[in-house]
Amino acid sequence: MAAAAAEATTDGGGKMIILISADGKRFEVTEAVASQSQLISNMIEDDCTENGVRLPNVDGDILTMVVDYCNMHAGDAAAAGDTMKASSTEEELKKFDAELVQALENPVLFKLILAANFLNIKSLLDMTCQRVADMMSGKTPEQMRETFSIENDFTPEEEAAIRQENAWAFDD
Amino acid sequence: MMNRRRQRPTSPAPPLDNDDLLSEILLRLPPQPSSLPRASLVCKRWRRLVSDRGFLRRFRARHRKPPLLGFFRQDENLEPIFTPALDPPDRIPSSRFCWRLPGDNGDDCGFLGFRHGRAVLFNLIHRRRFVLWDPVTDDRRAVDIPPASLGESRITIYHGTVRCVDGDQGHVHGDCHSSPFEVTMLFGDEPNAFVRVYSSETGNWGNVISTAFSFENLAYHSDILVGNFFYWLLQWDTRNAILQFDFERQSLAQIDVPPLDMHTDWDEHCRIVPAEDGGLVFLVLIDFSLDLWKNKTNCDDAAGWVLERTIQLDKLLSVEPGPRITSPCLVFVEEHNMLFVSTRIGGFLVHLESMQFKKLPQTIEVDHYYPFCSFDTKVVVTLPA
Repeated sequence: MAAAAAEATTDGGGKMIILISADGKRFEVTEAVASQSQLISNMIEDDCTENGVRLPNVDGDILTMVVDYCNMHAGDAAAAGDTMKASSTEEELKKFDAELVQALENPVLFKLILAANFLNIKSLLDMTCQRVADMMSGKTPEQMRETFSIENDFTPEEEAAIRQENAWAFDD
Repeated sequence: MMNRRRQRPTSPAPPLDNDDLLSEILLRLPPQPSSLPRASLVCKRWRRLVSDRGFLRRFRARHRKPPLLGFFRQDENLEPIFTPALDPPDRIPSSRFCWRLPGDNGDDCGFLGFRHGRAVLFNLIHRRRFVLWDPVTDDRRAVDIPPASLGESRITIYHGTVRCVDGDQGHVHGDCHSSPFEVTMLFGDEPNAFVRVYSSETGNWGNVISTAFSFENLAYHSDILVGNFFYWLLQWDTRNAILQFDFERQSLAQIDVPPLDMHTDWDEHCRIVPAEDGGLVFLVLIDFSLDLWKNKTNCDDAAGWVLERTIQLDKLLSVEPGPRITSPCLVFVEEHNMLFVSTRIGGFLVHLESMQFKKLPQTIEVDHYYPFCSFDTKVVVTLPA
């Protein structure tokens, strides 16, 4: 279903551009798909995608995920009322999004956030940041430090003072 | 673009080393009151980010609806007392929002009403003064009621409430601490009711707006704000009445109530809530059976009220009604447009249009409660040197 939707878009005559990852992998996508990245959309407007778009900050495995995401969400960005660009149903998209971020280990999730930020893809940045926030939610400060390898730079006195401010918030 | 970086000797993994990206993540923490205090204890950098005023503004704007922290009601001395509604670690103790601090020998005050994070109290000693109290910042402001309103000793203050009038685009009620506000006082001067509105922006009182209305032997009242209208549901042993105050037209009028066969023990079980079309819904709860009367203002029917449906709350919420237990307590939560129904197995927030509900751990006894929804984003104290 998803593949068919993506093909329909391609057959629809969208101009193709090449994205090149840091490790030299090449991805051919339509302009409509790539334009979900504000960075690339600006480059298309400025006519500088002729020789492919080099993305030195994004590895091939991360770019694979980004391209999958953009292909899946191309319908969102497509002009409303254009029946040729049959978009995936909302339910399918939700399922796809959930599966994309749920299974990721922290280092990969973090790389995906950096890529979404660099490429300026708002919905992907929103979704990946939300995933990290969900991981923080319900954790104690100690658990958050452990999960994200953060050093506690408070003195014991400072830590006690902060706990004192809102002591109820640290009751479990 | 987000490219401001802060170099540290032991940097956390990107993107958590980037202030802008970390802020983006922290903004997405749930609005529950423990979220930001917990994040602020992770490390100094996190604390700095979540204490930033701009961050807090965005946090509120993103979540829009402040969480229901609990309820205020009158204690035995008529003063406001807070009852928390959430489970730990979001359970804020009553002492966090304390009107009467230890050693406070100030004047006795009667709790009149609450909205948008501010309580209105009437000074029972001075008798011509009300006090506005913000429980989060503990800001207290006394305002004198002009003599023209209280020229006669037989005049009685029935209700006083507040509304935030912050016109800033993007303002979210739930953190209105520094916003301008209006206080609406409802007085009775038999055989009339009258309203006066105090504006914090001008420091002045508006005109006296009155209508023929008798409060005699009033048993109970509740109030709601719907757009530019303020409604009081006034209840006696065997009848109801609704007073409507129109802020824009500055008019006060009595409006009809549904044709109910009233009983003396009903006073706590009727409520008015806003309808989706801007009208009113009149709720009557008998045991677990909730009648919804809708005000059809453009209908030919002279009464204007139609019994739209009856909801069996015990079935909806899966609460066993027997052995004989009292009806649940009803509180309308304006910020969430939801009805809080307290039962012996817990409280439920019920959306009256969709009938979707969520369970809260708290049960509350039947009483007159004012819901308190807030982000409780108090500015954090400076660290010790």
